[in-house]
Amino acid sequence: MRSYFKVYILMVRKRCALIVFPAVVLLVLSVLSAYALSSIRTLYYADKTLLGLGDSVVVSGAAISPFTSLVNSEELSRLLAGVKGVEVEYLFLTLAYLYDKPVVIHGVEEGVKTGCAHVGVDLVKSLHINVGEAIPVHSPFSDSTYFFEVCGLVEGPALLLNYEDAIKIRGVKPGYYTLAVIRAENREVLEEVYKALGLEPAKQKILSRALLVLVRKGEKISVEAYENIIEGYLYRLGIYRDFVFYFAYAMVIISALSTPIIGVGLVVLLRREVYVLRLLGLSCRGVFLVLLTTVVVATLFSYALAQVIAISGLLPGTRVLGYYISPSMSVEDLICVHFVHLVMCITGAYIGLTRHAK
Amino acid sequence: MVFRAGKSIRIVTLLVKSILRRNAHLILLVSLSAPLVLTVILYSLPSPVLFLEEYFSSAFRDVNVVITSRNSIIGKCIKAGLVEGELAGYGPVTLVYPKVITKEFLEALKLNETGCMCSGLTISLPRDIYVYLNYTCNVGLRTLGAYGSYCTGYTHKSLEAVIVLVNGTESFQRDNLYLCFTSKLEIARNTLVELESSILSTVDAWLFLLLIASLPGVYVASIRVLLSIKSELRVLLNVGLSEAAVTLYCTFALWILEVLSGLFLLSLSTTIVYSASTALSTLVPALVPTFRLGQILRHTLLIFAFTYLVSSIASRRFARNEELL
Repeated sequence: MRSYFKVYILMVRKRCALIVFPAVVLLVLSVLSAYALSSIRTLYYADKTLLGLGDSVVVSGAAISPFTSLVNSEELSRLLAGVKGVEVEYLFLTLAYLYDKPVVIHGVEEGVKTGCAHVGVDLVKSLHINVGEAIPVHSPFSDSTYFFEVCGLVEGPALLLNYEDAIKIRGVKPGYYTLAVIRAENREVLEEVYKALGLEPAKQKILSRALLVLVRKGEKISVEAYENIIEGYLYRLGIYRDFVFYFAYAMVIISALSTPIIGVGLVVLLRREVYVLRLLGLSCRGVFLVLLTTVVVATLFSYALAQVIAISGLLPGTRVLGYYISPSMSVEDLICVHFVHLVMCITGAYIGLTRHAK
Repeated sequence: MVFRAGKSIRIVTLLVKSILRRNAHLILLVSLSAPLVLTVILYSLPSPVLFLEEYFSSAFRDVNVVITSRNSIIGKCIKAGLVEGELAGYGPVTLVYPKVITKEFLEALKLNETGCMCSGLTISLPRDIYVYLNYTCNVGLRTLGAYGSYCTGYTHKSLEAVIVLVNGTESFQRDNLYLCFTSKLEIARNTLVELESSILSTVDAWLFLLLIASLPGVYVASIRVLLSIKSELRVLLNVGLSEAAVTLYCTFALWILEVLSGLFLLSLSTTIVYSASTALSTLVPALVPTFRLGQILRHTLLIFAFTYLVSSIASRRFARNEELL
């Protein structure tokens, strides 16, 4: 074992490229794969960024987005009337056009006067809006344009309006909200909430974070439960979370299809050394062990650098309705993609060595 | 150095045949698989614009709306001024002063005549305000420090603002507003086109970086292929061909094989993507992939350009390096 290690150190000292070449290529390929994987993962947790929901049980109406859903507060209160120790917070979110740019509107019951708008600083910058001026907000629901005075600024890209103004834009009566966030005191209370909403016992897997979609069928209200909030909406568009993730994993594997060439390249790079070592009596297995060490060390280097890139936040994100969603590469993603590339690289080195031996 | 076309073609064909006979081209196929397969997959992502047109076009197409914009890129637009004013008996209102008033503009705004006989300054009131003011034909309006009496000639529902229908009004502090007349479908399409282009620009950058990361692999594969035909190359050098000529022939032979492998991968991945999508759509209602031929062609040409460069570098190094030969 020691002799292999000595041979390895000797080779690395002589040729830095032995580590640099695979490490750089693996780094770029792994970061690209992990970026694709984490972008999709981030999309499915966009509710935290877009709506600031966090871990909570959210009640929504049947809709293709949280901005078009409707929940009647009276009806929900009636359903939850017998449950004690539960707190319900209603949210009003909708979509509209500020000039011709789509924006998210938050309707709040306190803090904003009727006829006033508190504009997100990101919108102020991009549309050059000043405090005190009138801004046109076009409703895609009522097809009317409403004018509001800019009374203040808020963080982010959303537009804050009074609840009465917001429901005017959405074209609904008072008492309707887009989402209801349920906070239960403990798991037992949450179980009672699920029962009160009519979730079938078979589906009553008590989750601390879920989306409950209330679907009205005539007089009856049925409930659908989703573990992931965004999934509850996207599946209505024919986008299924499992398929999206299979697609992401397929992309990682396809991007690793060319990685065996790196292993083959190492054998090409070291063909003279391998020839001499074989002449000196080192077995084919021994040479493979040296190559294996090289590939593992290069992968470790690549992983360390990828972690630095992930922590530094150098990778660009995407903007959805003005919200900046930055992909956060998780340790699991990086380990997973590096493992795939490592296996492919070792396979390549083995194939290269076998051909060289022939 | 004189090249004869016939002889050159024969030598390149010979090299290509030798590579194919030894099955050495497979490594080229593997080295190009990641960038080409992912090019097809990522440029076939379902288009949100097509989804909108497929499911909502009939509902949205005929709905004409008036939207305000900072520029005149959506539909037909008219420049307008926006000021704050006060309507006697009602309170503060927003006033919109269109710069040009045409018959087409009045029709697009869907103004309803009130029946008042107007001869002077005419305005159109939002329907709710007109009802609130008890169907009055004359209203007092204070704007820009001046007070005037206006005739309520029309009412409208599209804007919650008073439209002052006076041709050639003076310029305002903020006259960078446009009133644009378009369909609901067009507005939604504009938004989705923006979303799609932002996704595609991320895909462009991602694929370009993947191509750059794959080039060392293409280089190694090229060297491996040339190593497999080194006896043929030695013969060519021995019969008097110069290093430069051998480099050129090797570059062409490699590039031809790379292009053929690339085209094979393109057609294979396109078939797989569409077969998988069809199979999936029989099981569950899924989105149909959008084949973006322009983008696929552009990126494929970029891949072929880079592979030519890599083949030429590999061939030059190979022809000049005695150890390799």
